[in-house]
Amino acid sequence: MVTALTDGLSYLSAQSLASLAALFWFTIVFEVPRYTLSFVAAALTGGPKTQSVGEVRTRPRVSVVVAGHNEADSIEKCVRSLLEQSRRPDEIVAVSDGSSDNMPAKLADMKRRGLVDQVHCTDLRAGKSAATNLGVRWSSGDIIINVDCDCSFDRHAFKHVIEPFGDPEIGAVSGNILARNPGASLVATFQAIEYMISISLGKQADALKEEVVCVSGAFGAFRREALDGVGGIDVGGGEDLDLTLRLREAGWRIGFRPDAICYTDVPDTLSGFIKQRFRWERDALRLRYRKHMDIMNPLTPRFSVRELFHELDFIFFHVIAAAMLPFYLLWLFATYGNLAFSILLAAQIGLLVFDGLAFVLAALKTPKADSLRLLPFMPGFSIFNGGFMRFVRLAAYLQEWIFNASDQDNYVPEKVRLVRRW
Amino acid sequence: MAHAQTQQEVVQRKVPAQRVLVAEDNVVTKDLLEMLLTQRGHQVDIVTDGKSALEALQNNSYDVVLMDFHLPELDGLEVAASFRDTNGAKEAPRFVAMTSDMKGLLEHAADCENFDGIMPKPFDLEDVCRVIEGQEMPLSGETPVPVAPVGKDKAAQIPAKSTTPIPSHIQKLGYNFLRWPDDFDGERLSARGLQASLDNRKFDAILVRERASIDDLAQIWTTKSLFSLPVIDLTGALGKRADLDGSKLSTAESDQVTRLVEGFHNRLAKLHDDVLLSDDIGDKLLGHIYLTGCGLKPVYDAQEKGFVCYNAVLPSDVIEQEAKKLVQSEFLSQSFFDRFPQCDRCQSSRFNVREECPDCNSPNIVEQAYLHHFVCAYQGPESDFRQGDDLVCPKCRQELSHFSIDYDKPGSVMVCSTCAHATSEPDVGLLCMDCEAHFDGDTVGATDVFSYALTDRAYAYLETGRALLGRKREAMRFAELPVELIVALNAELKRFSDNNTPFALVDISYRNKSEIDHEHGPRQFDQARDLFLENLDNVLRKEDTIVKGQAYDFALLRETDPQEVRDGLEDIRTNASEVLRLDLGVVMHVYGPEEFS
Ligand SMILES: [Zn+2]
Ligand SMILES: [Zn+2]
Ligand SMILES: [Zn+2]
Repeated sequence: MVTALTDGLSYLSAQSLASLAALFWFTIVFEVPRYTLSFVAAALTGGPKTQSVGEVRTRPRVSVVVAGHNEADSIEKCVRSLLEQSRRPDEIVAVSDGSSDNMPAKLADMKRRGLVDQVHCTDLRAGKSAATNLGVRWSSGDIIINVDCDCSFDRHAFKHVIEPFGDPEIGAVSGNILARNPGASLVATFQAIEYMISISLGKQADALKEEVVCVSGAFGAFRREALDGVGGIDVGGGEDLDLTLRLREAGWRIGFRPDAICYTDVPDTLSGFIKQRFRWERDALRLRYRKHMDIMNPLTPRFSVRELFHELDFIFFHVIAAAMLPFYLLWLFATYGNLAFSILLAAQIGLLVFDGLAFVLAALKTPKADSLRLLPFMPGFSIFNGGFMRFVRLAAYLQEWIFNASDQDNYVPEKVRLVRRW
Repeated sequence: MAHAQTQQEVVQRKVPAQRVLVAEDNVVTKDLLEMLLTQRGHQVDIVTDGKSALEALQNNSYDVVLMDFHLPELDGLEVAASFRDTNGAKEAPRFVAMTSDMKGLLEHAADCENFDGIMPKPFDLEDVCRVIEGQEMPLSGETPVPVAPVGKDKAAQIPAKSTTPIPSHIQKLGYNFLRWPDDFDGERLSARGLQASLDNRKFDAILVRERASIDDLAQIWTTKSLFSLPVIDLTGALGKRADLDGSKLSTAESDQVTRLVEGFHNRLAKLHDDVLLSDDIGDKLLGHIYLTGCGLKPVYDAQEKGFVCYNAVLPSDVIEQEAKKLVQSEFLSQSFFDRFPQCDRCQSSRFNVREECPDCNSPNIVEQAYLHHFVCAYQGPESDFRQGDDLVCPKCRQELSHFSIDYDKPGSVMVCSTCAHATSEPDVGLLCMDCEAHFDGDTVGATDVFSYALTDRAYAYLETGRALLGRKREAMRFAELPVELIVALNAELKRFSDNNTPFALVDISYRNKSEIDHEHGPRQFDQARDLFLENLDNVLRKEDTIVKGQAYDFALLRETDPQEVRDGLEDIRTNASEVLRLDLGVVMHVYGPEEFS
């Protein structure tokens, strides 16, 4: 193995720049631009206090809507972290979506104790979208913050997430989500790094490009006017991405606040992780190319150049990159035989440098993430993210494309999946 | 009702000084009255015979004359009559007779007309104060005591207006009824009423002939011993409070009256005079329960604030308050009857209980179904969708045409018509119907209602009297003490108020009296008691006084801190009981100067 490695290195060092490019085309085409943008974004935006667009002139009324199904055990902890906010919400609306545990009783009790302002319960599960819509329907805020039951928040998260609404063009602002349980398992650790780099740093880059920042369903703030204008949330899954797309289509800008930090538990088993990602990737694909296909069609009124670029970006860096990887590997092994290992390793080392740089930047941007503890796992993450994740993504895309697999997800109740049109 | 309170009122009220003539030949009574009245700031002249009384009356002018009936030379009656003969009615002082033979006096009613009031002996010092200070006459002079001998047959002959005539089948039973309102004269008792109070055994029942509230009938409980007569309600208005509802009693059922009256009589024969003649409302209530023979039972009554009344003509709150005390002192045992919410502002249990809006407490809330439109994830109350007969989604404008395919109803919501807020769980709220205070269902206080039964301890007390129990049932009452002790106590009280010299009064009772009486005979008990007192005298210092009373004995410890006595009480008791062969069950209780103020 060692000899193979040294052989590989001596081979690589003998190559010209042009032939190196021919060897590493995959990395150069699909990986490098991704990072470059992040670095530029990081360089252009200084410190965590980014995107402070104007002052919020009048104090807006802020409602928090938290909807959950069978969350009796986690709801109080979540609400307590809402009440700990330096900018306390003016109203907390809790919705029990057809829970069969004692969540309704728990909510009634919390209401009696004055922890929440409104409690709404249904007997049949309608799904997260419909449950959140119901909460929004009864809420009274100018700004509606939508949170997940299993999330908890930094003390200043709300203050920061509502700040960008001073800019009247901003229709929604995404909070920054970090993993709460990085030490739970190796998979959890990798995800913690991923959240830090791709969500935290990645969204900053997206925001800079005025690209779609998916306003996460776990922690997002919406201008009521914008939300009502697009009719609220549509059927899930991927309803958060879908809503973001529709808000942008309606002409609203989307903001991102890296310092509005929210923690969530990431899956700590590999199977749990894969299941979650299959769902996410399938939903993303289904939404973009089934529901929102016409955005890319210049002949429809919904067409927009800005969105077209975004969609192409997604197709290129996510879909095609994932699809090309097996071909690249096949080609590499077919052409170079055993040398392919050394080439891949070299590529990985190169990527590691980029990832390391991204990590440092992200760590600087998001001081809250426990980056020092995560540092030793960087090399592992680099392989995990560049290799393994791509296969997961590819498998998910294939499954969705061929089998419409997202129609089987129980994330949305069956009665809704049956009538969902995309 | 609460004795301590009236006592305080009497002491605290500033009254104009009265000129009083006391005609009394008993030395102790004379001293006592002089001390009492002087201390209260009155000007007192004392004479010891009738002749000097008349002289004093002719030479001075008085506001009140307190006169013993049996005076040497001229008796009280003659003095009063003679004074009135010579002076007419003008400027006459108020004549108050003192007698220990109240019944004898009343039987010769005509003799009484020269008196404005009669005071039974031994007297209650508070009564004396009240009479002297003109607040109350125990026996009003306005009614010139027309006490014709009361025959049972004549009892029902004076029908008053708007009163229910006594049904002939009840009259025929030949009982002597005390009638309300006929024999009750507003605030004061009529002579018949007074007679019933003094000798209740001549009467059989109280007959309520006019609609009366419980307050109207308060005299039954404020007058001595009247509580021992069963109440028969001819109006039906008292409901279960009366011992018998006579309003619907048929001729065939008149034996119910007989059974009631006989039952009361039979049990009254066993009721001890301590209880029968007690002024304590707790004692009276116990006595009443004893006489009814059926315990104290609550009955639902929507007219009552507390939603229950009891089988006694007393306000429910008074009954509950007294019964609670009696349970604490183990005279009554309670068993749960029901629990009611209770207004902490006015103690009422009358509430409007309703589901209401958690935000504005309005009960005007309407239930609406939630509709969930599957296709667009809109979820809201049905009214959002209603367009005439159609259901149209407010979000996507589609018509909902097929339940369970297009939409379903995942639950319901209560929408407030007053403030438009919605909730899936309305609050339960209570509105007090008496003071309009509002309470939340989970914060409103509750009160438990019990039925009560007499305990063995109560039976023993009711049949044996206070001797059994010691004095703890009530606060020390001055007037019940032997006169000798009162005089001594008065002197000590004066020293205490003059220069703060403390003293302690020890009250001694014998718990095992009835047991010893029963097993060894009363003589053995008396001997043991005397021996105990002798021992006690040796244990105590020379300057301390031991006074032997009827049921109780007393020790007055001069210049002694009552707390010290309390601390050393156990030693005193054991030392004094040392050589006794019988266990008297000595119970001692220490009173200090504060308890007499
Ligand atoms: Zn719809
Ligand atoms: Zn209301
Ligand atoms: Zn009240």
